[in-house]
Amino acid sequence: MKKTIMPSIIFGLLLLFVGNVYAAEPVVNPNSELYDTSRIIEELEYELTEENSEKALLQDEYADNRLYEAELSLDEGDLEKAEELLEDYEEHVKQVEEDMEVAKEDGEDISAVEETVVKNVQKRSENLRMLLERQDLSEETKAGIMKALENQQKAEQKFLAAQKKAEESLQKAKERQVEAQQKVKERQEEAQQKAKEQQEEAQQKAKEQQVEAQQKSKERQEEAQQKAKEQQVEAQQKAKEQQIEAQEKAEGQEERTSGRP
Amino acid sequence: MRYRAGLMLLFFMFLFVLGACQNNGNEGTHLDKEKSTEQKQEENNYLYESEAVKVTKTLGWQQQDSSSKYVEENIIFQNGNVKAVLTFVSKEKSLDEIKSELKSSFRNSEKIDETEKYLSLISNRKESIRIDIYLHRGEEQTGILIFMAPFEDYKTNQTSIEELKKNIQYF
Repeated sequence: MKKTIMPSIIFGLLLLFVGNVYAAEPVVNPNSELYDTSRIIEELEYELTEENSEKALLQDEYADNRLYEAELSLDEGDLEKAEELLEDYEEHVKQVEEDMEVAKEDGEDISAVEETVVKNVQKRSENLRMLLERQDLSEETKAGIMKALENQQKAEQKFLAAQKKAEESLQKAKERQVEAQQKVKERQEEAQQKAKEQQEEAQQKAKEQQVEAQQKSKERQEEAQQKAKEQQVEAQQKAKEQQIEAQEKAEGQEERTSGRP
Repeated sequence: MRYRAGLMLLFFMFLFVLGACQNNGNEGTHLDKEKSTEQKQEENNYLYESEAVKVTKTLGWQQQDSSSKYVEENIIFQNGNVKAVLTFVSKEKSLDEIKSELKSSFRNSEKIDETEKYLSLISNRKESIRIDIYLHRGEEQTGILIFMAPFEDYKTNQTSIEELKKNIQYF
């Protein structure tokens, strides 16, 4: 029993999915009285958004909306409306490319946005292929879908090329960064070596100066000692002379006193 | 002689009638002028007017020119970074249906607040936009007034939003 129920459930879910590709994402029905207002809201939301990468994401979302609306119109048998919506869809896809270009020129980081857009573009290509398989399409609608698919593929290739280019330039930037870091390291090591040498040189010089100063101080000390010794000898000599002179003076006085009657 | 006097009398009466007519004519032109001045003054007092709605001039607000092909049934006003859209739908559409459809057109968004005739949403984006929707149930139509502004600018512009809201008369 279980064996027969499970495949039926899976088949049913598959049918639901194939029957309505965008069933999980409701939009305003193009026949609704509020459809024009919903498009005005989109236009104003786009006007109020400043960053070009965000604008690109909005246009990407609007492209999704148009595709879903085109499918709704096909379901309702309104082929003319579906064709019109497919034309609008292409306009949004073009606008995504333009906004991404401007964002790049402005130096905005669009790597994450590009990734999202590429994913959505691939998903929409798949949905367009599924739409082409429908039996209720007129030749004109088929041609419209084919054209949209063609442009979509062109856009996909362009985005992928841009992504590859961005990856390459990122790789190059990384290499340049590594190279620059290596250079900085080398220069740092060089500077450290130089500083070490300068320090050693300075230490050597300081040592030499110290030795020299010690030598000089020793010499000065010896010179001072020599001078002191000489002064001492001179003083001794002087003292001796003074002593002799004093003795002679004393002897003279003695003679003078003894010579008196 | 009598005949001549009669002719003269007739001539004077003719002149009198002609003068009176001219005077009346002048009065008529004068009244017309007064009327058109009043009309002009009245027109000058409104930012927008139609059979269904009159929007009195509000400081800072002006009607936005748009080349969009969807603008026909939607009147757009602008005050700096705040936009307002005024539109009408038939009474057959319920308020819940209107709110639900407008929520769908602002897909990647969250609900901030909701009452019977009001819905407030904010977009889940790097540059968030706030959208406030006011509904007015008329006899034949439902008026829809939508305000949109970057989230960070919304609070600073709340007074001007309220001013414009007050100056909209539905008929």
